Amino acid sequence: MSEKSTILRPKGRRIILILSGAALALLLAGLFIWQFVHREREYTLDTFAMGSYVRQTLWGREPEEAAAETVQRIEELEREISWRRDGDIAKMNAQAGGEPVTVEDTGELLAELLELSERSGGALDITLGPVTRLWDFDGEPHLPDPEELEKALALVDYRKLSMDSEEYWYAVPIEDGSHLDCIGTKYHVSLKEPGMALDLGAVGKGAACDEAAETIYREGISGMVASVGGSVCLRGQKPDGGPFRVSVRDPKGDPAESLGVLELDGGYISTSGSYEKYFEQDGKRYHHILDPRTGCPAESGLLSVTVWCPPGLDCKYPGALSDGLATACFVLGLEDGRKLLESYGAEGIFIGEDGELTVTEGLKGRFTPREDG
Amino acid sequence: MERRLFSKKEWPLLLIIALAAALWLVLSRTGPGGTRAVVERGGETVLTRELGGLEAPELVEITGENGITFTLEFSKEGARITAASCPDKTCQRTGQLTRAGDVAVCLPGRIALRLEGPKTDQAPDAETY
Repeated sequence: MSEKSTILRPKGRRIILILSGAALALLLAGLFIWQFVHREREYTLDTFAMGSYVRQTLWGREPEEAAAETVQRIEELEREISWRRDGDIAKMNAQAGGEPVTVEDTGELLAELLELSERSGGALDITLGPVTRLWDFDGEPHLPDPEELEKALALVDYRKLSMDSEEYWYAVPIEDGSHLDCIGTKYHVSLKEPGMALDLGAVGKGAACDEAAETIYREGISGMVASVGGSVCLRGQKPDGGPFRVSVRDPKGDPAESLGVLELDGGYISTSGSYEKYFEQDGKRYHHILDPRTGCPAESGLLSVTVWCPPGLDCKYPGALSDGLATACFVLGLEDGRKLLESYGAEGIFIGEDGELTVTEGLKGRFTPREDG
Repeated sequence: MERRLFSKKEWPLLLIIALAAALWLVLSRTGPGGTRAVVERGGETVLTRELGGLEAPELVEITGENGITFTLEFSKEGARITAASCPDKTCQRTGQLTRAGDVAVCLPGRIALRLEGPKTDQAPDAETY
């Protein structure tokens, strides 16, 4: 027999090797399919909710379902907090001057917003409804009749929003058949005078960001960015581990132009600006950010305020807080606005009507102005 | 005597395994390519245009919700809403979209025009306004 024979191993061993190879191929094919279906991937979903364009970008496994659930939660929130719908806020408005309305989550949100109303000295007032309806910025904006405006303004006062709370126990069933005792809070909310009306328009988009932020707790989701109009929430991590980049719109330029970019490791960002929604009458421009103290568009010398609530702030609704703070700071102006942000541990970018840019200490090094700006 | 682990007949099997592994790697890393304009109505994509392949500007008319009509212009330079029958014209005022991630939105008509493209490290993840 020639030494060059190709049969170098016993036949049985070859069969074992071939079978092993086939098993390995099957294993790899299975692994490939599993990886393809369950791999971490980026998913973007665009929808309309809260009267805004909503964009979610999620990173992780099976992000489609998570994004769809978020849309549903935002729609449910809108029902509860929009005065135009039939939820909690609409009920409170309908019962103004009468019996309190008992609520839970909406009550917690209102409690935080009442505190902001108080700390901002009424620069944000969630009872501004009678006045915002007169201006009708979301419908057919127009200059209100001065007498009507005066009457409406008399109904605006967050201190006339009454809230009592009570705690109660409830059971949550768990997998082993037993249950967990949990404590909840009910709020009894009433507006003291007939004709008063809540309007959470100044915080709605931020509150929707709070809803979207819950997505990060879903198994398999490693990072997310959600934009509800111009309010943004950043949670978890991007796949490359780098910071989130948020462009700040230039209030003086083309709407597609950026003033610069914020690089952040998370948190909530909102902007209030006089350029976004306005109308002109008799040669004068009227923007939509109303000063609750005058009932007219705020004149604080600012064009826009961007607020960042960093991760770890001690509040349950940091998105709504960032939105409310942006409005309050716009109404208060630069100096008082800065103090308000400091008191909350939030940061901001103020842009004056003269184009002057003021960046608070905590955002220095995180904000890069556009090179040619 | 030379001992070979695999015979000639077994090499094709190894080749298939290697190809499957290569395909897996490629599919795991493939991302979207090319800049294109995407038009959405109520969150659903109704129109897309690859901008790089356009020889001349192209005008397209579409109808959004509430009967609001739009004229869109696509060109190599970008995309924009040139006319809208809605009262506030916010989308029209947005002007030309030129970078991936730019978006023009009409809320009453529930229309969004946005640009998609290859992601770079410099592209923002979101915009606040």
